[in-house]
Amino acid sequence: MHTSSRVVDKARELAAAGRHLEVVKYLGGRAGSELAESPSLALLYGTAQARLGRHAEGLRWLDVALDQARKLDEQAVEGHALNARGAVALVSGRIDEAADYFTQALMVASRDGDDATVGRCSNNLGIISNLRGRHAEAIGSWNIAVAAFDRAGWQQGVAECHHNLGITYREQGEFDRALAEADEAVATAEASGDRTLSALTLRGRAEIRVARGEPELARRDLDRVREIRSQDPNPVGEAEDLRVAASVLAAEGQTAAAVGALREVIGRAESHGRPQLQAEASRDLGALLRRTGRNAEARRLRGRRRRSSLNWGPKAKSARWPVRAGTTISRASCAGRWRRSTWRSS
Amino acid sequence: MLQLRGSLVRTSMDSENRMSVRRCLIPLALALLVARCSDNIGPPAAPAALTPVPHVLRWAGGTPPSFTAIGALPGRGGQGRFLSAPGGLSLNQYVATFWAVRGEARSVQINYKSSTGDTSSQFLRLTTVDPAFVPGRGELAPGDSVLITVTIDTSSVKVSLEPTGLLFGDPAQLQISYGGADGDLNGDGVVDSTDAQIESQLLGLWYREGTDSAWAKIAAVQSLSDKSFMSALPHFSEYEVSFSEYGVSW
Repeated sequence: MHTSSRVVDKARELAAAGRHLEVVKYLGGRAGSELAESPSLALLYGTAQARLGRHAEGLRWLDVALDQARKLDEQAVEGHALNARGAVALVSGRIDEAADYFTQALMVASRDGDDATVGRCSNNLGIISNLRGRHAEAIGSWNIAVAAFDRAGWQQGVAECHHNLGITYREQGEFDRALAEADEAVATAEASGDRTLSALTLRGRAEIRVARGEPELARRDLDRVREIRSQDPNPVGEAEDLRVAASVLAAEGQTAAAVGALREVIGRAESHGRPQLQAEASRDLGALLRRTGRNAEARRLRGRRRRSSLNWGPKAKSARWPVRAGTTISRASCAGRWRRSTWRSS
Repeated sequence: MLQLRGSLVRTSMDSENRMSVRRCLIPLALALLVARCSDNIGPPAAPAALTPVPHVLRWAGGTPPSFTAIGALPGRGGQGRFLSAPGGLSLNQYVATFWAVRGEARSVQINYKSSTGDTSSQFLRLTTVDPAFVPGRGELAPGDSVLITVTIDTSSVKVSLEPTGLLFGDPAQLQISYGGADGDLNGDGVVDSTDAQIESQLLGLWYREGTDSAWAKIAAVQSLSDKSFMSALPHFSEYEVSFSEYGVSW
């Protein structure tokens, strides 16, 4: 038991630093029975696997964590595992399923007085509200989440909320506010020492820079992201980075390079089983091709996207709505993304 | 537990429109639906079990409503009156068309006849300013136009927008009302607190591309006072979302 506690502490330390690959290596080297009998270890292992994009393996261990936590009446782990289960559903595009899990997790965490998980659930429910076009509700959830994370002393969570607020303001065309939130997110993430989170927040700020017509500043942020990736490889994250880099290239007028980058993103997304990223890059590529008069290529791409989307099945289909900027709330959240993805200068 | 289910009916089309659809790919359907509400207490057993099983709202009274259109091209029903599909043969749908012009605000508004006989109640308003790309035609130049078709299903609160694949620069604005259900959102013949709960918590704007596709809820802002949803449509099909950029808390 004492050994397990030390192992849990070590794995938590690695996870808190965003070193998910090391968590997997560290815990993967231990006996399977040790993981299966400890809900905390199963949770850490499953979460790390999922965050690396290995969803099936991640879910398997998260379910183990959930079962064990319930058997042992460890409510903190149960709530955290439910939230992680929802996070997998969310990043897989199954938002209704994700909302169910987050709501369950929030109930468990509230009963248990677990501020960190209350913050996690509130942040994630805010994302779902934003995806559904309920921006005010999303901002409310994120403010609740920031307060909960502050009480829990969980700076990573605070950074995530500021990052998400930056996305919302960018979507609404409020680029100054978006940048202020993104700056806060970057600073808080760096102070927390979580390098994966730093990469996410820097990439988010780069997207705002592109929207503000500042590709050079965006490039600087992406250079810092690249530096982090060189030390902490994250294949899925790198594919996402490349998508944003392509938007910088396009903003700089380097169309051929942007097209090449997007094609690479599509290939990587396919190999990593990330249909949303694949679809998004395909759409960006199609828009860029059309903008440059390559309509036949765009149509061929569109045909491939259609066939591809049919193969994703209902799980992916349930999330096929672009949720990005509009100039007003009632314009949902589509316009900004659309403007960005078509790289229109006006 | 509230378990609402409904069969989803694909809008049938007359032969002329069917040919048009074949040329213009798959029709996009937008629907006002109530999602399934489950009383599961434990975690979902399997994702497949959580695939939304939506319930389409029905028009009040069980009889097909009448519609009028403002801004639509004069149909074969005559005099701009929005009576029925071209050919005047269809009893289960209504069709309105209008020319969307790039660089000009164009809109169509469709009103329904409420149970009180009022014909001023708005059911749908679609406004376009910037149709940018038409499948099979390519990019539209400023001043170029595309014919947009709005098809309404008269048995349920459901519309289809064509041509599928049409892309907008500035998104089209769609407002669609559910006032025609007269408050009976679960179709049990009684307007009560359950309907209020459905309206505030479960009601949403959904769409799918065809009968073999899953229904997906789309981003829309609900107005409880107007009993409507407003959504910005960047295009009429192939919507995808990326969750990757958000800061998800694990």
